[in-house]
Amino acid sequence: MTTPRSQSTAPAPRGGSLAWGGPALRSMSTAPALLEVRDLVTEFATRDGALHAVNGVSFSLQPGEVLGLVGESGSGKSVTGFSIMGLVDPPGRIVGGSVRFEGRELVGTDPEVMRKLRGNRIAMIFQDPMMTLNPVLRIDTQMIETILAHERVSEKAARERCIEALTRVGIASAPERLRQYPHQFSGGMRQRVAIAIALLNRPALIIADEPTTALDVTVQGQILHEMQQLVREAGTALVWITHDLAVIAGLADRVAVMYAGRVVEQGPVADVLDAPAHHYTRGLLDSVPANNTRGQPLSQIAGMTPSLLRLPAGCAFRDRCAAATALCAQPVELRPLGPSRQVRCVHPLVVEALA
Amino acid sequence: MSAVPQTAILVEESPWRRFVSQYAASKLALFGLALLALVLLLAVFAPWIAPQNPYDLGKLDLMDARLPPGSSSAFGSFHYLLGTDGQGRDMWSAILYGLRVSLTVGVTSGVIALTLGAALGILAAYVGGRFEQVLMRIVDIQLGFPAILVALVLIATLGKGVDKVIIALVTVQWAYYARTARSAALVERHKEYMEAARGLGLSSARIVLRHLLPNTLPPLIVVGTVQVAHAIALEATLSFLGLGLPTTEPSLGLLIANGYEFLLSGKYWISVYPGIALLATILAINLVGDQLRDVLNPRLAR
Amino acid sequence: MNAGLTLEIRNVSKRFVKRLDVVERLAAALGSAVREQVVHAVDRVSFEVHAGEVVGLVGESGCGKSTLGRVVCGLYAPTEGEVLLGGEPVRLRADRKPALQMIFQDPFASLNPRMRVGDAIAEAPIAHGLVKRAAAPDHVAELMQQVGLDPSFARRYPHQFSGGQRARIGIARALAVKPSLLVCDEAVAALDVSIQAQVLNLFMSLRQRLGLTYLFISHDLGVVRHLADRVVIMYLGRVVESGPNDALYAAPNHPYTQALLAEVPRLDRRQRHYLPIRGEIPSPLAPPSGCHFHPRCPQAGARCRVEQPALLEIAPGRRSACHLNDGGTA
Repeated sequence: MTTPRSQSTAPAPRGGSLAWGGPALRSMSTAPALLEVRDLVTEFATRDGALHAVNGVSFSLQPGEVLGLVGESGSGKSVTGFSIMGLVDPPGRIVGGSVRFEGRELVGTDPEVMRKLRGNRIAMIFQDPMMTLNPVLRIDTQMIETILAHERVSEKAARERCIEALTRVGIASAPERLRQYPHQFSGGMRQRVAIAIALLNRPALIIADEPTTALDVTVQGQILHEMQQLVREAGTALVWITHDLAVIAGLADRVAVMYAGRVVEQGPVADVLDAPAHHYTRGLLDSVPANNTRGQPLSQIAGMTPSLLRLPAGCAFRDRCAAATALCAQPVELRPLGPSRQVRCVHPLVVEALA
Repeated sequence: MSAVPQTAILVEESPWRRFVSQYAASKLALFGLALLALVLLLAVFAPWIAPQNPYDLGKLDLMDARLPPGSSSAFGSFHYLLGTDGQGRDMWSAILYGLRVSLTVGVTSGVIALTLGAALGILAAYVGGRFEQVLMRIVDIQLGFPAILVALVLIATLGKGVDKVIIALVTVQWAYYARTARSAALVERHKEYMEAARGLGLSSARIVLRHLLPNTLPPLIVVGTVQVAHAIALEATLSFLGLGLPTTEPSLGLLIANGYEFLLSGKYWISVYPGIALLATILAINLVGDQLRDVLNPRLAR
Repeated sequence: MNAGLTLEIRNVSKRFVKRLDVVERLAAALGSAVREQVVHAVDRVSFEVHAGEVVGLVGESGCGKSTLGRVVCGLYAPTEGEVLLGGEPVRLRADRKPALQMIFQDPFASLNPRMRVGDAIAEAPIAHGLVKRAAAPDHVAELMQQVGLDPSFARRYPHQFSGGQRARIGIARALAVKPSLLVCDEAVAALDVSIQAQVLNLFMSLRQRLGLTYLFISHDLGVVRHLADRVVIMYLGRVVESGPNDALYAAPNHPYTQALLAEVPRLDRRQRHYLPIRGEIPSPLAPPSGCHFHPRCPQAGARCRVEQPALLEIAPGRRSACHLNDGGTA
């Protein structure tokens, strides 16, 4: 278990810049992006027609950066994560766009190439740790298997690495716990094991799909703390998928807000949360109880997310938006808003770049 | 992936229409359904379709015995579509009536076993405690015996007759329904809507009949269709062995048995055609049951 | 609606015992270490909910808040203690109109999937004679409108509604029997943030219009902060702190409450350094001795290991169960 550290220990600044806009500004520079997603489209064939769960999503990620992918149900955030990993099963498939990882195109690539990357250079952490862990296998079996699938090392060396990985995620008595089965761990511990597995082969990128949503607040706090440390130490880039803006506020460098399969706003965390440009982001922030006066009705977004099979033409949010006009019925592109922000809105709340 | 759909659901179709379109997704299942419908129609309308009443001994002519398919009677007045058996019975008519008997016995015993087994199983899951333990041990013991053995012993004790056969079949089948019903009911029992029903102050009878029972039906329906097929096969086996139904109301099994002695002398039609009819019936029921199981599986739905 | 009734929870304990079956008893007799497992889900909890109030019951997994909620509704019988509503013991009897209703967490699992929602809402009032069968459709329509649903949807099945709509149906069903108090068991936890806001607003407006009282169970401190008049914090089956909303959030007394409030991610805290409290929540099967929180408490002392702290009144209306208020931890 990590002991509480004093607050005077400052974190090593990432990217060599003390301002939080540092890494974000760099994403627009000439430095090669670790992950480059362009116009990704993932389609599901249903009885009622083709459903575009991911409908033209673009973002990029620098090495060591933390991107928060935020959205509610039906926004397509989880499917985006699965698409990057190549884990979308029929009736779903990627029908358009590109995903470039370390310069290499992943969409449509050979399954064997994907297999070599998964668990090795790119790892995924799921909401339910039992999606990673096999209930009938011991932890050491599963962890050693993960190492041996990608590297030729002796079993002893692999075991050493497992013990080190478990200790790093805060599991005490690692050698003994390695011999146990998943059901002998509590929920929070299982998620820690899943994180340890993800980190085993020192990936360059981790995609985390709501890993702390089902956990208690105190356990969530611990895991967020550990994730922060671990990605900082190893320089791992992180895509953190969640519906909880508060978690992103504390963890991420940049945030992309998704709605109905599209990115509607993107930018540095501070900018987006303090001065949201898109009306949906504004609506989300306003409906959080902490941002409302106690005892007064909460500010709410009218209506419901539309069914992905019956999206209104143009802006998907327009039926719920107070500022919608006739212009919103036309398709809306993602437009830059200053050097590091983008917004998909004809009447954004912020028109000039922030200083 | 996400737990609860928050987006607006497309509400256009009723559950029935959804069920129908899901069922129809499999061509094989549709074929099975068509075949089953055909078999049922033939069985129900047998007295009107059959050219001859095969049990009216007065109409039989020994001169026409063992004629191959497509031949005519001795005096040319009657056309035997599928030939005749050892007593001069028209095979086609005999098969139609045989289907009728087989299906009646199979379905009747299935329905009685379902009602009895499901009632006991659901009650066991709801009441729990000693009653459940005792019942489930009885079920386990019963299921430990091979069906055919139990049926043989019962028939030997009770004697021949349609009602005795149905009793034997019910005895063999009820345990399977009881176990399925109890498992399904146990799963439903712990769901929140059952708690909500209790919290609303509804009576136990109402909760079991209106909330528990409708939600445990899907697996029972699936088991039911397949069990009817088993029952028909089991009854055919009993009849083949000479037990079970009397010769005055031959089922397909008895027809197969009657023709058994002629198989090696080349008069295949007396056994084979009833065999094909039996096979088609069981196959149709199994195909329908398979698709029902997939469609009604709550995990695959939604 | 019986307005003006106070809910009293008096020394309620609830234990779940997994008895040994025949084989296990035999094994135990032969010397095996198999023992009966007792879960102390709720341990001598007492507090009150006054008429018209909203009391927020907060805690993490294993704290027993959901179990307590069910004991309050009469779904479980307490192992010890009693629950009184307006002085009368709460007892759930079949065929008698219940005085309390629960709103469940999972909006889908709490509705019978094979029952039309209109029937589900009307079932209990008809069964208890509150409404005649002929008048039921109108009654249902009125209730559906009250919760913000289109009455023409009464003939639909639960799966034809979205999550937020199903939550509203659950509320309509509960309101149909005219309860005096609603126990909301994580009623908005499974909903998206924007839908959550709508449903919370519905709870607040119903409270005003119908004079309802709520016991609002949640793990979400932000929601409870917004809604509740008083807050009760539970840990591993025991109440550790309780008090008025503002006072408790401004100056939490118990170390667990302090840790809980410090851990909650907040929108205005950027790039924070998480300082987690140590350890995991122990299993309710084997709770620590003395003060349940002592293995994780940064201020624990020798006394905390041995002696359970009493729930003492530290200020008017505020109670806390910690030795620090009562002579120290030594």
